[in-house]
Order: sequence, then structure tokens, then C-alpha cells
Amino acid sequence: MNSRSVFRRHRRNLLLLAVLLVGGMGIWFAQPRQPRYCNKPLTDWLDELAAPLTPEFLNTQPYGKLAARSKQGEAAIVAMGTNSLPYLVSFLTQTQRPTSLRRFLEYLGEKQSFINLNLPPLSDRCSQALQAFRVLGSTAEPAIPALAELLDRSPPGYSAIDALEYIGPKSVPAR
Amino acid sequence: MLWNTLARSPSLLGSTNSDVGIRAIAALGEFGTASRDAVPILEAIAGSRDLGPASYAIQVLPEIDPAPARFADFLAGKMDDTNLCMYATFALGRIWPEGTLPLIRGLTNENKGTRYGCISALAPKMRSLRRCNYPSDYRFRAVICEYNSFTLATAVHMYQKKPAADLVVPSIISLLNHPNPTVRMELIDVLSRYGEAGIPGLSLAANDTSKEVRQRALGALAELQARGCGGDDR
Repeated sequence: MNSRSVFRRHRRNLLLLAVLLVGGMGIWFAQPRQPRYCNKPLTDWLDELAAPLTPEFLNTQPYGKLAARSKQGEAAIVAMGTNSLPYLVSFLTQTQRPTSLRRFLEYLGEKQSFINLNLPPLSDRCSQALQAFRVLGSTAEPAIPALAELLDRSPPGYSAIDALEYIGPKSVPAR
Repeated sequence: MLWNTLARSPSLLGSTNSDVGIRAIAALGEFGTASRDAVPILEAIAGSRDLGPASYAIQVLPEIDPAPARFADFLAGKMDDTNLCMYATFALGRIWPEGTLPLIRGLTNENKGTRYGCISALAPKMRSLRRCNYPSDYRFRAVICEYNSFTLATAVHMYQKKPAADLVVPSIISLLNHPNPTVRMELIDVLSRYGEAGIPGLSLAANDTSKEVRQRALGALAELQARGCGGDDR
């Protein structure tokens, strides 16, 4: 059996694989890309800025290291500037809810003691975004209309008020 | 946006969900007079029957209005409301010098909460916590926390049956530089009520620049001497 006949036999499968590959790449590239700084996306820098603080995490990370990470995070947020605002506004509405897979893994971890499933702590994107607004201060002024829209939602986005406060007096509009 | 939030706040429509409005009011307080556009709506909220937002609005009003003296009478009236008296005393404490007289009169209010609030609001430390004294790190919410701590400490002090003079007299003495002689006269009356504990303050007032105040202080000292330094220690 030569290679030509093999190709003919599997042509349909190969075609399907190519379509899937191209489709997958299309979806990947069509996705809005988070702003990056030093080759790391915004969410990674948010984790640096406000690391999820669990007791285990605090026991393993010395305070000085945490503070240094936070400083680096602040610098990155400032560098990304207003590019990160749409993402930060969307993070304000995110609740700290584990995925089904995580819940399943947590359940497994509780039910057995053979394998220690050391899951990374869950990031609280909402509070991280608020910290980013704190760092940005009045630079985040262009986000005011989007934050005002969050206030109009039902239930209202309470975090939006804190974000507006970090922006400063510019969030109190003139008549 | 915060201002608009208040205008749309369900609290004004009588709904039970007033969290957004309350948070917005507190945020406006942090901006100081930069939030002055919100004064009319905060006045409306402060006068409303919705206690949650009203309590915050009362505290924030003197902070954001460039001329808060006009609220002194309104706030003095709120001191008789047992639900809002503590907030009103806090707000009066933020209005210098017009807020002092209602606070001094409030020291003999029949409501304990009002009396404790007045004692705390008159404390020198509380009066020094002003935006102009802390240009870079002033936080209005921190001032409110400080006041709440003072009020709690005052309540503990009084429930331990310790003399009120320990708290009131130092505050009154620190107020003897008040620009209004009428207020200084009232201060002398307060000091004379505390008997022996008030004597240092009365001696200081006996050197006041105003003749009337000096005479009142000397009269009070003579009266105390005559009755052997007894006093009201409520």
C-alpha cells in the first residue's frame, strides 16, 4: 500500500482535522486579546498586584516578596494604562465562583487522601480590578460611562461606586 | 455619576434597597467640596424618613458644603431624634465655630446618646481631624471611625460610673478660645457645673479678653468657693 492510497483512505479525516485546526485558530485569533506588559497578560499582572491570600499562600510567601510582587503589579497596571479599562470594568461584575471542574476536583480532594490535589487559590477578579482602579486613579476617567452603566443594572454593580471613588472628583459630574 | 446615582437612588423612592445610595453618599464625602453639586440632593436625603441614607447624608453634608454653617440649626434639631442624634452631633462637630453652641447645650440633653455624641464631637482630637490638617492622607471614613471609637469609649467611661468631668472639662478648656463670647459664657456655665474639676478652666476664663466673660468666670469661681466646690457630675 503506497502513501497515495493511504492519503485517499484518510482524506476525509484529514480534511476534518484541517477544518478543526483552522476553525480553532480562527476562534483563538478572533478573541479580544488582553493588554500585555512584559509578555504577560493583564490577568497575570492582576494576580501580582493583589495575590489571592489564602492561609496556605501566606505561610509560603514571605511578606517582603508579596510587597515586591505588588509593586511590580502596580508598575504593570500603570504601564498598560487605559488599554486595560474595558477588561477591568468587566471584571467588576465577575463573582468569585469556582468552575464545575474545580468543584469536582475539590470534591475529589475532600473524599480521598492518597493524592494531594493542591489547587491554586481562586482569584477574586472583582477586588483585583478595584485595586487596579486604585492604582490608576484619575487616569481611569474614560471608564466613568461604563461604570455608570453598571450602576444602572439590576442588581446594581456595587463595586462600580468604589471604582468611581478611586477615580476621584471627576466621577461627580457637573450639572 | 455618583451625583446621578443619588438622584436615581431607590432610597429616595422609599425602597428598602438603599445600598447604592449609601455607598455613593460615603464616596461623595471623601471628595470634600469637590462634591458640592450634590448638596441639594443630600439635603433632601438628610431630611427624609429613610434613616439609613439620612444618617449618612447628615454626616457628609458639612464635609461637602463650602459654607456648612447654615446647617447648624437643622442639625441641632436632629439632635432630638434618637435615631439620628449621634450623626447630628458628629456633623455639628465638623462645623466650626457655629456647631459648638448646640453641642455645648447638648451636654445636658435628656438622651444619653446625644450627650455621649456631644462629648465625643467636642473632643480636641476630633476637632483637629480636618482636611486642611491632613492634605495628603485625609480619609473622611476614617474620621467617622474615629468618632465612633470616641463615642464608644465615652459610653464605656460613663457606664463604669467614672466622672464625666474627666472627658468634658479638657474639651471645654480647649474651647475657651472660641471666637464667640456668648459661647465662651456658656462654656463657663458648663465648667461651673463640674465643681472642683472645672476650676482650672474657670481660672483661665477669668483672664478672657471679654469683660463679660471675665466677670462671669469670676462670679462662677466665687459661687464655687461659697458652696465648697460641689458640682453636677452627670
